[in-house]
Amino acid sequence: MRFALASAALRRHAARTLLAVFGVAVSAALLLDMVMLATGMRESFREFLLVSGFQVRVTPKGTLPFDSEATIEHAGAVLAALRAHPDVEAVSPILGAQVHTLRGAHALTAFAVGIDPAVQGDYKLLRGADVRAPERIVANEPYFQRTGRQLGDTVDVAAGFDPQFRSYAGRRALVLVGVGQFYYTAADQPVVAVPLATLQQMGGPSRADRVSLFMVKVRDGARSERVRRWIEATFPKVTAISTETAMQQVEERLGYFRQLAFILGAISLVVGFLLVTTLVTVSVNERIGEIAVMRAIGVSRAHVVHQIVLEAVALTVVGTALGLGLGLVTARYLNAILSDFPGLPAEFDFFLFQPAAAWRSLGLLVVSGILAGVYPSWRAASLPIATTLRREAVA
Amino acid sequence: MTGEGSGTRDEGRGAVVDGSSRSTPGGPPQHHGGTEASASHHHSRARDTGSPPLVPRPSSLLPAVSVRDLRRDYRMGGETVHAVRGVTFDVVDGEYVAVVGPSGCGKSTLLNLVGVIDRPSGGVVAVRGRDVSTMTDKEATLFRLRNVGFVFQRFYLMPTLSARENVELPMAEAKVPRAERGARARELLEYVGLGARERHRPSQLSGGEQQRVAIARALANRPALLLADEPTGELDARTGEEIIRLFGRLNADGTTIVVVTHDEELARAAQRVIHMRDGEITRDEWRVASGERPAGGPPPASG
Repeated sequence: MRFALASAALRRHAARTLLAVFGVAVSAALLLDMVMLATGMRESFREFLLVSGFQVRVTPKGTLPFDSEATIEHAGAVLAALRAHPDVEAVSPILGAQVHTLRGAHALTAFAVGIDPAVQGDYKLLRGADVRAPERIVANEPYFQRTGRQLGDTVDVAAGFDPQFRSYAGRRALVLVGVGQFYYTAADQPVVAVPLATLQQMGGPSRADRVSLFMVKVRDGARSERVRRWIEATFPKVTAISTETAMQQVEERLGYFRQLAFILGAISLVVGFLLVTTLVTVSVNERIGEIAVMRAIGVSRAHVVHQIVLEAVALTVVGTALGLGLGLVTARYLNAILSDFPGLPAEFDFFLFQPAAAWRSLGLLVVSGILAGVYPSWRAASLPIATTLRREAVA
Repeated sequence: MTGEGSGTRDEGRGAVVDGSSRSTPGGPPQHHGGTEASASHHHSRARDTGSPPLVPRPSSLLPAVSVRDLRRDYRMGGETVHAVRGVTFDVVDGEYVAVVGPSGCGKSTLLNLVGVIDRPSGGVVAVRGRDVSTMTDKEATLFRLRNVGFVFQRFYLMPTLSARENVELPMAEAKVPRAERGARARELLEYVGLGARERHRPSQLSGGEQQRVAIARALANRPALLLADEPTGELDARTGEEIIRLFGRLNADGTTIVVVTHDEELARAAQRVIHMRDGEITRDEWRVASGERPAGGPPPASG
């Protein structure tokens, strides 16, 4: 009977109930999006760093990966030393450089990574073959689109350009053998991968035996922080950044976003609470005479409280369920907009659906809905019956 | 039964009754007086069918209601209003009592106090020998559920429930099994003449029909006492007469009724009329002798 009465009370003003449900849905969607944003950027960055399983990045002293043209000298020796460490499972050397693909009078500038195909962690091969031979090249879709080339074509690639003489240096004829998806570069940026030795040779003496970055994979059970400290102690001219360190830096930089998301999420929670409280209070005030009569004929306070709380919970649960869908759609849309921001890697997500965090926040909203029903229900159940009936009769 | 402190003349019988008139020879009829035969008949029916009676039967020799020096004061605009001032009377089982008087004389307040939906400022109300004036809210709620049926001037049916669901509501609260309460609700609606309209919502019923549903609801848990506050106040004369006849039939079937009214017809139908003014009983009169009490047909056996 309580369910029937609660359901009937909500259906009595269907339009109003529907509006309230939509209001709660919007509130829930905003809350979900803020939770997805607050936790999503951090987790997305972690996934981004760990996508290929490398936990430590080794860069020239005082730099971040590829934020300058600085390189690590004696790369061969460093590589050998790193690989010899018992806690290290794999090391991927990477040289980053700009290359120019020549086509008649025009040239397309692309970012190139010189890698060891056996251990590389920069891209996923989508089609074709990897760069197993010196004159081979793998490129991403934007490269193919902009050059108009196809797999199997030979491209004329130069590693240097002298604008004064308008001449290209370090030219090589390379065969396009594969299509790759690069993790760490912007989605629309043309990127190619060539064997490390090839790119070093194309760069001339200034690039010989040099790399921009080592990515280090630590063995299972070993602590990456210990390896990081060992690298910095052993090689004074490098900076080693573990995923944890990087995450700490990201946390510090994203703190502002997280606070903002937290505040907006809290506001949406309060708005949802107030919305349900207001609607249920209005509904109770309209039915105060009925409630007084229910009490007069022997309906308990607990029944009245249960019935009204049920109404609040029903509003909140239905609104939250709608909000879940709405929030996911909104997050996807916003993510698509933000992912198009220039310079961002394609793999990076701003909104990441994490079930535990999502259920926690939506659970909190449902709890707030229950609390929203408690006040008006208790107020209704506590009204003096005779006085209320007398006032109703006069009204 | 008496209006103590104001010796009253039993106009219907030409006798003056005093505070001890319940046992006074020639006093007001005890419940089983005029309807004893029919009540016995119904008891027999109930025993025969193994079912409880549809409407409540007097079950003890205790007064249905015993009111002693009852007072109710309100604070209104900084002043104390004495709505009920030291009222004393008894209502015995099976009695049909009308409380009349001008607006604001305290009759509805008196009814609320007897029905345990208000608390007295002083004095005692006992229903079936049990002091209800000191009950906790929980006890009072349970007491109302099991012992008191209310009928209001404005019907106050749940607009979203059908007639049958409205009648079922007190039974659901009393945890009567679904099938049983459905059957009893149908029987009660038949009893008040609305068997064919059990699925109708209040908005689909006339005022008189709504009031009959409200009466059926009041009888749902077989209360010892039926209290009605201006039950014909919102009805036209013809519909009001239907309700008056229904009350008469209920009383004839053994229901103890206390009704507050301005309706002279309704008051005339009662066996006894308590007149109030300024919170006090000014007169307590017997309108009909026990043998002339309104008689109704036997109620259908309950399921």
